[in-house]
Amino acid sequence: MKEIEVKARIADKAALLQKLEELGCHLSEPVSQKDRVFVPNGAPLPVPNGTNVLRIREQGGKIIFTLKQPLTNQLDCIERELAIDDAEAMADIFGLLGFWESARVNKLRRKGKHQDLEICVDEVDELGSFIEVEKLAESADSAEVQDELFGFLKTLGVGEEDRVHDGYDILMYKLKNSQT
Amino acid sequence: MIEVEIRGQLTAGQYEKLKGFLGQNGKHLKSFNREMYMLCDYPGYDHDPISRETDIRLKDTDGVCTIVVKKKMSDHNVGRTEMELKLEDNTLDSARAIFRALGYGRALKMQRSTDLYEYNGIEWAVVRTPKGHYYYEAELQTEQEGMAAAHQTLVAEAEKLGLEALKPEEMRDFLYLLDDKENEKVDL
Repeated sequence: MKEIEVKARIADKAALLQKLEELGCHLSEPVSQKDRVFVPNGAPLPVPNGTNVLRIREQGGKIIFTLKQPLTNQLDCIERELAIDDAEAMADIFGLLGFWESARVNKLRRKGKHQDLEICVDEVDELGSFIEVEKLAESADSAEVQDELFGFLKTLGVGEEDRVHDGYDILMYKLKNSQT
Repeated sequence: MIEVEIRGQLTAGQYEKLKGFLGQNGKHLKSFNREMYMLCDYPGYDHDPISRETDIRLKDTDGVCTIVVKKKMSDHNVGRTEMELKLEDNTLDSARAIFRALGYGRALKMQRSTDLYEYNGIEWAVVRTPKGHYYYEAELQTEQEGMAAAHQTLVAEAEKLGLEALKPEEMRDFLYLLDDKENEKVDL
């Protein structure tokens, strides 16, 4: 199974939340997620398709190590997860494995379900408000699934101009580099 | 801290005698069975344990799973820094899948039964393999500048117990023997 998602900036959060409620999609209470993202030494950003990206996520007292392998784009990935007990030790091991920390992303996430879609509304430090819609698929055409997912976002009032093709780590990296 | 370690081969008789001595005169810390996968054959992997810069191991010690990375800190690999990360899983299945996806496709699978003691401020591991090879490991933790002194202390303490410490080339030969007779090269 692979995770296929689309992402968009939220222009009018209150209106979007209202439309989700009308669809019967009730969002959870916000959960804090603190992510550190690591990419291979020497790899360009955004990393080319097929490049391994590692993440350490701290959430609700748990620490999760995730390996992401982007397939056709950053939002179309194979993911593997492992619960660990020490974020710093994991970061040190990533260093020895030839990865460097490219970004830190802190956000508050609210999650909900609509049919077979997982919906996340995120408030990301320094980046703003976003909505992600995600679907697990076996070997479906990723572009086709992403179009279907964005079609759903359009019904919530999201416009093509709001669509974001980068992951939060890349958005954060671009933001930091535009500031220096 | 840097882990300074010596190792010596034992006969079956020496193995029993050393366990008996350490049990009586030292403190028995724990006994455990371990299945371990030492990643190998990846780009940059050096088959020679003396010159290898980094060891990456996935360990299952009686259901407690860890990732261990050891980095060479001295000539002959006598001193190494060790980073150990405990996993929440009680099997190595997910860890193996992740490292496989990271490009580490092959590993040396090892099984060991170990009795661990503390004696004279040194940690002594007395180890048995499934096919009847025996050895001890003596270990001290030290700072970089104390590595040579720690190594001398370990060798002297082993001699007091009538034990020989393998020299670097002997260590390499012994590890090759274990690779040949005990360890199994497997797909991760």
